[in-house]
Amino acid sequence: MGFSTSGAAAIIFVGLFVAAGLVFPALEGAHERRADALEERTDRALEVTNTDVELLEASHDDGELTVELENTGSTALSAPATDLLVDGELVDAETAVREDDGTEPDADRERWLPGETLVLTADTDDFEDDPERVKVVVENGVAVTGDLTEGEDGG
Amino acid sequence: MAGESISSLILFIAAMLVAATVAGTLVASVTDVSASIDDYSGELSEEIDTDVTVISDAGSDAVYDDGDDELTLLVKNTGERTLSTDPGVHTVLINGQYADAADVSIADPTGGEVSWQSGDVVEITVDDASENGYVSGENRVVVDVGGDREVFEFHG
Repeated sequence: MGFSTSGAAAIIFVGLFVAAGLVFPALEGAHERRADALEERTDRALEVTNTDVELLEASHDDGELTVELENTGSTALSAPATDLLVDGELVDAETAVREDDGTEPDADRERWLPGETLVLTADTDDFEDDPERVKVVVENGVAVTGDLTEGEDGG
Repeated sequence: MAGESISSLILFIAAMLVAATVAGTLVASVTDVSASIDDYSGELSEEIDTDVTVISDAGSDAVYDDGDDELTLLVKNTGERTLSTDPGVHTVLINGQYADAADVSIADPTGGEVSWQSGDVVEITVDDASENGYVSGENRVVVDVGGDREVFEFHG
């Protein structure tokens, strides 16, 4: 009788150990994935908080629209991932980055660093009426809106 | 004497069988639970990685098109993961009313081939907006993409 009890106990213990060995990696993996995802989300939130852009100028002149924005935050932003909305419509814009020393904007630059100015240019020929409003959205969703001013010789 | 040892043997075998069944059931259940935890954590991390932002300009007239009765939202993928462009897997609610998936379409706003990678903007269009909850005046649209809900309010 004594042998049956201890034998049964031994088998159940082995079962428990195997079960613990199976569940531990699953829990560990789950925790790690969740922690990684949360860390990335916190990083994104921090980046959004540190991002700030200021609309310097938005004007259109002779069918060409120019929008200048300064990166007044502390994160490096992507120039190609910046979206320009004119009167609520997404417009394909050419991007160029001007350094803060006031040199000519460089169209090959893709990173738009703090203190630098992004110059967006687009055609407005497709618009029936003169465009009035612009909205610029940078890569992480931070947006600025402003009114367009008309150039001297009209739109 | 012989009868006693035989009954002991039978009891021993019975005890072993019961113990093995208990241990086997335990291991099988734990394997199932582990697989579920694994799946769930994958879904959860995908959900946390998903982030979208409605970038439509609420101050412009481009959100609702009177002539075609169409509601157009520009939605930017600000998360880490490429999202599906199948309208059936996302949900659009206009003033709390579910927009029929057959009326919802997802397209590239510049007319190219649609893809929704990190940083990309897509255009979500709801046809027959009036039948799907749109009212003249103030509107509240909720877009649920891969578990991330975004609220967009406009007047039109």
